[in-house]
Amino acid sequence: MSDESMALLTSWNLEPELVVGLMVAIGLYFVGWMRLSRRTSEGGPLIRWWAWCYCSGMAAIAIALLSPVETFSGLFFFVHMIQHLLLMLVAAPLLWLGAPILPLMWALPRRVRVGLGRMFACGRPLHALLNFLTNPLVAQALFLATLAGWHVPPYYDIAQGRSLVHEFEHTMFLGTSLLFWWPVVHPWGGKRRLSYEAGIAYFIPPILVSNLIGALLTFAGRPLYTNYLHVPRLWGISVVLDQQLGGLIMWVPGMIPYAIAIFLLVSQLMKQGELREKEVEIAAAIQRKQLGTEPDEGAEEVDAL
Amino acid sequence: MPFRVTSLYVIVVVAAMAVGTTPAMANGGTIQLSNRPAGPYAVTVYTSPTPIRAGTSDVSVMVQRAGSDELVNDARVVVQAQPIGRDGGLSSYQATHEQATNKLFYAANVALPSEGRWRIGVQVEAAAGLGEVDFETDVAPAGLLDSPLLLVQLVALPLILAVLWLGSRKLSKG
Repeated sequence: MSDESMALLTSWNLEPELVVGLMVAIGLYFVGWMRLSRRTSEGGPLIRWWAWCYCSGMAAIAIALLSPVETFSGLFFFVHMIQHLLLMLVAAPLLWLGAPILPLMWALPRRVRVGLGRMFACGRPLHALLNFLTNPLVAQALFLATLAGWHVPPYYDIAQGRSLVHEFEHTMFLGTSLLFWWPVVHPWGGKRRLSYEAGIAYFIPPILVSNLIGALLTFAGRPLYTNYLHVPRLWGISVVLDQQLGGLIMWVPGMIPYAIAIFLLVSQLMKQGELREKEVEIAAAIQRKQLGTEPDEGAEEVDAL
Repeated sequence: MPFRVTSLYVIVVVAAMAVGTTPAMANGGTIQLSNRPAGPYAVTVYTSPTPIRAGTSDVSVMVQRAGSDELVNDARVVVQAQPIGRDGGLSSYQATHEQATNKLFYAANVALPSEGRWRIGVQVEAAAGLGEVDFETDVAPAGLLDSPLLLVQLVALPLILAVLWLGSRKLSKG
């Protein structure tokens, strides 16, 4: 292996704050998970793949912020794009698929857990705030504003380098993505605020915005971000080629998480349709039985269903 | 809250704060020189943190052959620092790949003990010969908030503790 390949693989940016933060977040999840498992028979409401999803989400954050992806994001625009996609479209939905609220709450001491539960109870200001922020229209607007806003060249350039603005940019990407995916994944259970049909439509604006940004970056033909004019160029990747790669990544692989989400929503919708059909069939069979038409057949149908 | 659980949370918070106070020594930060010719080389120099504060700063150097994007990985790179217009000797530091987060760079932790104007020089020596560049930069007074993440911690952790405390207090009342 060449020195440069080795450098690519070993350039990890192990920020102690982030490493500790991620380890604490994973540790708390598993403490809560074990406490819940002990209290309920056969694992109770917990499903094992939730834990896999949560850990995968944390792994996506680690890859985005600690691995060579972070280290090289300052040198290459397309690596920076991969980093943003990992935070927004991989980590955020996976974290919610891990249904983390219950295990994380159960990791806390009982008094704190119950107290927090009361603070977020219906009618309390924090509940109202969370309800507002996870309203599909609000969450989508915040997500789109963040996605589009940080790609405006002056804002993007301000956020480069190791600065508070850069940390703020990443926090906004992850934060608004968590809000965006909340109504789709619906991690807290209860009645869905976004039906499966509406969920499919919910993805249309971000797909359009991502496509537009991807196309603009790919076809710009000139560097849009001045920051990359000053960084050293490597391996024959010019500033424009770098930008085009970034645009293509946003345009093509950046669509995959949306496509997967839409596919899953469609399959849920079809399941829901089948359930409704069955309900209609049962209702019709009961009606036929009550009316006395096709008595034997109707009775068999009801029994069968 | 039982004592041992309280202690555990305090330990976690204090540990997180403690690691947050370690100086940020990653590559990146502000580009001080971009592809600056230095003899047969082109040198790019980054400094971190932004702004540079009195204390220890990271100086990261990428060395390429002049006129190409070919990296020079086997150079001897020395970073020198000297205050301008006031007393203070020249101090030298060898920059190495080992000290760099991005292993394509050479990095050194450079002591800049006082605020004011400083001259930072970079000497590169490799098979193709010797090259030298320098630049001047301002060093701000030492500050607690060198690391953005530390700032976040200073705000977030007390907030988390306050929420935990409020939560347990509400339960006691309720």
